[in-house]
Amino acid sequence: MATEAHTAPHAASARPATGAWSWVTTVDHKRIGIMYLYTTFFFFAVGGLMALAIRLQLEHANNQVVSAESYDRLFTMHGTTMIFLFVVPVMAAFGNYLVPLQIGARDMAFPRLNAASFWLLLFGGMVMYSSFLWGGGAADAGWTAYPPLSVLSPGHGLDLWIVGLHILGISSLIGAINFICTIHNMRAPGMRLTRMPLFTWAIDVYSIMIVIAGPVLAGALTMLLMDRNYGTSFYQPATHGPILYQHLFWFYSHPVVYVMALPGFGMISEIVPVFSRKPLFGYKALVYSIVAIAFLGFLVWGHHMFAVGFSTPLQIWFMIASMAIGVPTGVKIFNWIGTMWMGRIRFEPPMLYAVAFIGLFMIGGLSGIFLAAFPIDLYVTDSYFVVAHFHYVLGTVPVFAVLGGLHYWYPKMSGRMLDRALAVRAFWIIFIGFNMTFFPMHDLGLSGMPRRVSTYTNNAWDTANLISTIGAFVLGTGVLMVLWNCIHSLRVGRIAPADPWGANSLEWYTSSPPPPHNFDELPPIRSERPLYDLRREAAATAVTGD
Amino acid sequence: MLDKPTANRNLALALKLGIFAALLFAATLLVGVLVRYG
Repeated sequence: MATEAHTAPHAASARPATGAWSWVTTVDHKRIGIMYLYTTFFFFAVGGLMALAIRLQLEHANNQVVSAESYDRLFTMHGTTMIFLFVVPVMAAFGNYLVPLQIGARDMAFPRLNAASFWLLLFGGMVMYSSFLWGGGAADAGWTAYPPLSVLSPGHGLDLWIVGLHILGISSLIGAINFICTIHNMRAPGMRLTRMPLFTWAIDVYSIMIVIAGPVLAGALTMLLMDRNYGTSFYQPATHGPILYQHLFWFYSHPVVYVMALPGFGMISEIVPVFSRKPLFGYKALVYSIVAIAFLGFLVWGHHMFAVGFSTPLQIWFMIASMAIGVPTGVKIFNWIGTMWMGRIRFEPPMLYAVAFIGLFMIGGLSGIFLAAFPIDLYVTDSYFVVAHFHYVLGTVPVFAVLGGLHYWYPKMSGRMLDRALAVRAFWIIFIGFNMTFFPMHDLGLSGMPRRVSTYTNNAWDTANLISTIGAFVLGTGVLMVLWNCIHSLRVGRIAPADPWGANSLEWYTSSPPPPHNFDELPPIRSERPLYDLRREAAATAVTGD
Repeated sequence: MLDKPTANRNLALALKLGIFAALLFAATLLVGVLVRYG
């Protein structure tokens, strides 16, 4: 643990610098976190607009809103944007802002490296999007970029996509190393690992997974780039190269599902006890389940490849290992419900998002059990059932966990409260829109509608697709309402106190927003709920008059 | 400013993680070479 002196100048005498240049040159983890937030939400909006174009195209059979080529680019860049430019880095946004505050540190271990990590994210996104300006257009081989399609894809769109991903990979790798060093070496006195907030635990495991999985994707993409430009043939079909690529790609990309999900779980684990006004039920079980999910996440990549035709024992292995992930995931859901059980629940906006997340993630988890069973997977592979599944798993994380986290920590970050009535209305619109968009896709998939096709001829799929398209616009409206609420409340929102929710972790001990040095002083840390301990001592003192 | 022992621990851990990641990257390329050309 750090032995750094945590007492610092008074907040009033240490005002943050102002002006655009002070933001460009900042190495303050909080400002970097906020710049991450703006950037990732910008890409979220861009990816969302692409999703609306996709839904318009699929609204009815034989539709021609966009050409087949444009459709390929849209769904490729939609998936890539949402995963690599929104969900993965938005966790780094919250991590940057919150981890040092939650462990009582002054800043990240390497503040300049932290700034570099952010600027590389922005640069990587720009490189990737610059492909739209080239003659050949953007990448069009899907976010998975399977060979031989990705090797043969004409133009330079896919090359820029690969280079952009390399830059994003370096950004997330150095960010992850920074998080690990910060969490393991910079905790305040008393902040043992077993007292860390669940969100910080999740960011620690997220970072470890990035360090292990990221270089494998980088290697796979390097070979793809060489096949496209330098005459190598790593992925030629004659030597089963496409299957090699799939193994390498999914060794990274299945763990990245948990890279995205675990910090979302961490956010929910922070919100549920605060708004249930109870201690988190089974803190240690939740920590173990985070670690178990991460460990098992590295053993199951083959369930994305059942259609390749593995031997039966190998298929059985990947099936059982995939289903085993349901156990620690079930532990988490059980513990969240156990925390709410008999609690005095306050349905403030963050809690609405958290409860919705738990319910909707369970739908995605259950369809995941179906897909883990290879006899079922072979029947529905590459159909809209899979699209429904992964949006109920990975769509719920950004829409419900991240927006829940945004509503929860917005007062701390901005010093202002959100408009509660608008937040509640936006939540219900998002909830209805999300389910209208993605639930009909289960039925579409089971009735045979393939994914990644620009149009279809079967009129029997029209009604479900129409509902889904309307739902996408409803969902987009709700997200716009949230963004408007965030922007509007920056100017007119009620001033936020240090701890508006009666929360438990250290970030709520300092002012909202925190001063540049984070804390004037730290409270004693004797449990995983230091602020609750303080309130209890204050109440006891008030009763006894000591 | 961080105290020197903490800064040294940060640097040592970051280097170990960086080397680990570089080795994994190299190992992935090696797998590719062995599968295709080995």
